[in-house]
Amino acid sequence: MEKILELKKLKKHYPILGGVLRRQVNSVKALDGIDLTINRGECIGIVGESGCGKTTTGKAIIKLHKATSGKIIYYPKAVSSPGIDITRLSSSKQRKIGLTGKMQMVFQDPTTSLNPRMLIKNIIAEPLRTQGRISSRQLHEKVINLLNLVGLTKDHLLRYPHEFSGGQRQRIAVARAIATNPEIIVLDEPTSALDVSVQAQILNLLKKLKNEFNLTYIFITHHLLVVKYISTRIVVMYLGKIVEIANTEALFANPAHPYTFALFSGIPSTDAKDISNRIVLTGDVPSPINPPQGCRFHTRCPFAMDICKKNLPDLAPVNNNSQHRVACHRSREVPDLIQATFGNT
Amino acid sequence: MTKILKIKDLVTNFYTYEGVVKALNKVSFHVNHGATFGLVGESGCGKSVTVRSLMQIVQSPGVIEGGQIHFSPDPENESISIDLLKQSESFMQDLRGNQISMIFQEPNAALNPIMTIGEQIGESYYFHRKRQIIEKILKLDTDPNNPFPEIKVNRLTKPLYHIALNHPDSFLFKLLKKIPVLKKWDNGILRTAVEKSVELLATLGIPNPEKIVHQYPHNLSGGMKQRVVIAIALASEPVLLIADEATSNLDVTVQAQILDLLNELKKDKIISSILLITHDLGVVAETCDRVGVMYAGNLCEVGNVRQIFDNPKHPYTKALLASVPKVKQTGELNSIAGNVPNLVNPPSGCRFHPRCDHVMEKCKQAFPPTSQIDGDHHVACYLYN
Repeated sequence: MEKILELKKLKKHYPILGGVLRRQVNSVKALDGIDLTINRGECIGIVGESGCGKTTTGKAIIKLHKATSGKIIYYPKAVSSPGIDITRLSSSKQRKIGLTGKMQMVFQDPTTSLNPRMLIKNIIAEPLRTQGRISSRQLHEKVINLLNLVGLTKDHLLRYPHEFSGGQRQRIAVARAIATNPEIIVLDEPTSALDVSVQAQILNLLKKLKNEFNLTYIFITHHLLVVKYISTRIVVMYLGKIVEIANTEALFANPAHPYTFALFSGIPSTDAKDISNRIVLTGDVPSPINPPQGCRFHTRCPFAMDICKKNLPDLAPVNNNSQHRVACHRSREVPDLIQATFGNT
Repeated sequence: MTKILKIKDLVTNFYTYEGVVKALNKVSFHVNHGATFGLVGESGCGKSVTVRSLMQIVQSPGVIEGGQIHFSPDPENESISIDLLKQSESFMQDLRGNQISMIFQEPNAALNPIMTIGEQIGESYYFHRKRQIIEKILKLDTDPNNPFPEIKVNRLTKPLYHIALNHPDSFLFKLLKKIPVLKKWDNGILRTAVEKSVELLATLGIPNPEKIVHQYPHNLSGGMKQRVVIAIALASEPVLLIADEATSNLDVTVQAQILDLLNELKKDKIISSILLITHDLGVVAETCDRVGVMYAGNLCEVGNVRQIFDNPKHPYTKALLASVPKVKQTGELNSIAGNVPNLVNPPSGCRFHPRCDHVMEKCKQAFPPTSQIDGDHHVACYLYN
């Protein structure tokens, strides 16, 4: 498999300013050193509770904000080319190499991500205009093309965002994102503001576009079943760290981290057969300003030992499977422990 | 099973500049004593308007135009029922938060940021349990070996407690309250109310409740805030608890905690009946006994949870269930074509017909009557008529 993006020890700390001189007194460790390789053409899902750093990862990748340290290496399509570290690249240099528009983002709430004072045709045309010169006739054709791709028609060109329903607005946001022929799209909770029936429409649309243009998706969500439906690989994050990475089937079949177990058992299911004993975690996510020592999950983990409070576990392969990695000291015993403590789940 | 709540042909309209929004179109259902009833549907289908009409807190362009809401608080005797729509505002004020409590969707918006947690929960006791608290304080005061020495009534305000107990509406009482020295006569009641909220928070599984009651909402996390909102609703020991999207803004693990808490409270008989409103079908499947599915201001299917989820009858319910990603999902996800209709100009006849796969000619003309499938399972569709 061909790599497209590699995150190396990526960190993002938001400073907290204090005192008369507004000096930095502390920082929110939103993203505390993550390593991740993303392959071309896959859909990687990032799941976790709010405040675990999912959105920060997405925003750091498309450089909406600058990473504190670490590297984001982008591998262009030409096969033998070495990676380009885009973390410290200026925007003019980026334009020279032809990287602009290669990464796009779709935001959570389509009501706030579309400018209410712009016509739909201008919203979709904006990224095309900034990318380079284009004749107005070509632009018009391209915009209509994009609208058709996402299931809207040219009747919608001269309307404002408020005239559309939530699902249609999200379609417009998707059309805007694919306008520049991107290779990577970061989807930050694209369906969480939508109803279930519309959510299904958007998910199917995203799947169709992915196959059509061979896109790479980074799908950020807190909804595990949505991510299962669309992703090939899943990353589970907790408090700025990756706790488990695996292929979707492998992760759902045998999760190895207690947190992943808890997340799965928290999914309310509509099927009577699936309703099993719940593992309900006690307490809340600790503050990312002072994350706990050792394994970050130990304060809520039902199986925490002394070693968990002292040492931070590494992401290690499970059963010698390099695709499935987990950061837990007791990962080997976890399935048995769960079985013993909570019964059959 | 006796019914605690019977809603019949409820109609609520909103008079906006664009026209009349027909938010509820003859909604009828009932909630049993000791059961959890779930109301599901997409946004804008009228779930929240239904319970707001029930509590009569529909906001101003909205008007409740017809129907009956029968509330019978006594589980033994169903015949003692009150039609809430015929009651006065002061009666409703006494009922709200007392016999019927409501948990609102957004805990951030439901809590007052400048009041401590203790004051906010205590308020519920102060307004609805004032009599009991005054009686308790006076009893403790006369008791020579008082177990709570900090709750003391000072000699100046003691007569006020007696008047508040015996003649709360008298002119003299209103006059005395205006005197600056006596203005804070009810401090003892407030303090007792805060003490009571500590106990309540402890039963809801909040660590160090003594400390929490003196904190402000911003000190707490989302899940804790939702527990506080539940505590406020439970303070007056309601017979019916309405949870309006109580877990929608919470994370999965916290949502699991809150749902567990509600189930536990029901098991311990702290709450008897719950009316749960949600758009999450999974939450309904796990917590409710009976379910009503709403679409565009109509109730299209009512029934037992398992009847609805295992054997859905209405095309909308079927389509809705098919569009939810499942644990064992394989293949394409089904979606419902089109959008939820605008309720200013709802489609004629059955409101679902423009999106329905089984649409017939008569669906476009008149609204289908409700027909019984079996036992408790009712559906409003011509396919079964």
